[in-house]
Amino acid sequence: MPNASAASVTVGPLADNASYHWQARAKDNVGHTSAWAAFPITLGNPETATDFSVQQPPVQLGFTVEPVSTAVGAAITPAIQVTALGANSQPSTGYTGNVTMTIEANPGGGTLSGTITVAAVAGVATFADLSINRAGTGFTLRATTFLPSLTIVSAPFDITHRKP
Amino acid sequence: MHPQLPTSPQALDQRLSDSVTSVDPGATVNQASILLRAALSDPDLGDSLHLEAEVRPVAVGFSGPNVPNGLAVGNRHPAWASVGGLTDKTSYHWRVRVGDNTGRSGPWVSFGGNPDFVVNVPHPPNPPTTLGQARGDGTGIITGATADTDVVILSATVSDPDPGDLLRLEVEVRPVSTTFSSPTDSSDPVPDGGPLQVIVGPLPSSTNYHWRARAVDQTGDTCSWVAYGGNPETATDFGIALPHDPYRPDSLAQLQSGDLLPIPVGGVSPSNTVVITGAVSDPDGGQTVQLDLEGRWVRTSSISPTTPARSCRTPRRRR
Repeated sequence: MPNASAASVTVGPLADNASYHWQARAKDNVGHTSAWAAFPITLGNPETATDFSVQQPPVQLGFTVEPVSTAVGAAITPAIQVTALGANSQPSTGYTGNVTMTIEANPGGGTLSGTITVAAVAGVATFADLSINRAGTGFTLRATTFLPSLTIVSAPFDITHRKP
Repeated sequence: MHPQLPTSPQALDQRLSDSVTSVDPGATVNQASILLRAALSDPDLGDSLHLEAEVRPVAVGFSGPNVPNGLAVGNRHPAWASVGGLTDKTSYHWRVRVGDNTGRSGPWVSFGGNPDFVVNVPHPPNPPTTLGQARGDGTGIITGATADTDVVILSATVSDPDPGDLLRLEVEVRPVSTTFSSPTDSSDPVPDGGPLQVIVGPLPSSTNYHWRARAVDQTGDTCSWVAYGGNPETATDFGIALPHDPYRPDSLAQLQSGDLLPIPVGGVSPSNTVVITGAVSDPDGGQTVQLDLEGRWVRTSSISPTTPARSCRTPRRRR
């Protein structure tokens, strides 16, 4: 009598930020195997097609370009970059969520201006026009994501008076 | 003139029962009889003469004629004495003398060999015993059972009354719907026989078989066939049913490992483990079937663009 049952295989750990395709076959207890069945069965499975990708959510943020000392009101240059990082401390290139920047340490009582919420591209959020309107020593910025809830504080930097 | 005694027989010879083939002194004959021949003569030319013979095992001394006299012949003619009922595997010596129609006998003359001839009558092998059947791996097959291999080992113990004979085990294996006719397979010959095996196959699958065996010696002499199983020859001794390949799996799906929600084709798994499911089946009842996977990394990320694609064969647990 033919027999039938549902079978499952848990595959992993798979590499993050990678795309996979797969095929399956049945194998009996004496080692006989069926022909391979590509996934999805109805559409076939060319070698270049992706069946699924692994994109694990980031587990931490990192300032890949820290803020540097800048004059009052001037855009902080080079542009600050915050990168979403996976468990392996590698960039979560699939992450496209928003990253929001706020002032954490505010010795001068300044206000952060510019585009403070930026969508990540390939896991990297770039803040190109941030500025602070008061001078002070030891400012820090905090970068935050909502999903997942992650945050990180930058290294301290100074806002200096403009030269006359 | 007074009657005289016959003279000594001349030109003694021993021959097989075909009366043509001479047996050399000391040679072995494969029959339990022999013919003795000699030329007879008597001084009394008118006497009719006959050959008187005594044939004894070499360990037994001569004591007097023990063979029926041969037919009467004329003077100076060859005469015969037929000796039968000889004991197998025994060495003999013999002597003859001439008797005449007056009841007189001449002197004895021995043939001269020691032994003069040896009787060794070949016998057919004994019927084989302890017939058995097993799979190719040696696992026994119960009578009437079905094997999942197409090679079977048929075995039996063969023996022969004649020491030193080279014995083979011959078998005839037929589908139960086919009557026996001639041997199909044989073992190699072995001195004195013993437990022998014949490896038979590959046999067609999905077929029931019956078989029989016999022993054959180096002369081609055989015993009678012995059928296996003690069952009617319309009954199955063993069947062959090779396992089939499983069917291709069906209903394949890829699921997220946590909540088992389907991952659409081309979709994203937020976890580095993925559950692959499918329906597996096999035409052979009683088989266990597992899902066997091969996954391939089709595209690397921008992190390591030079990493070549790799394959990972992942045969895993079932269900």
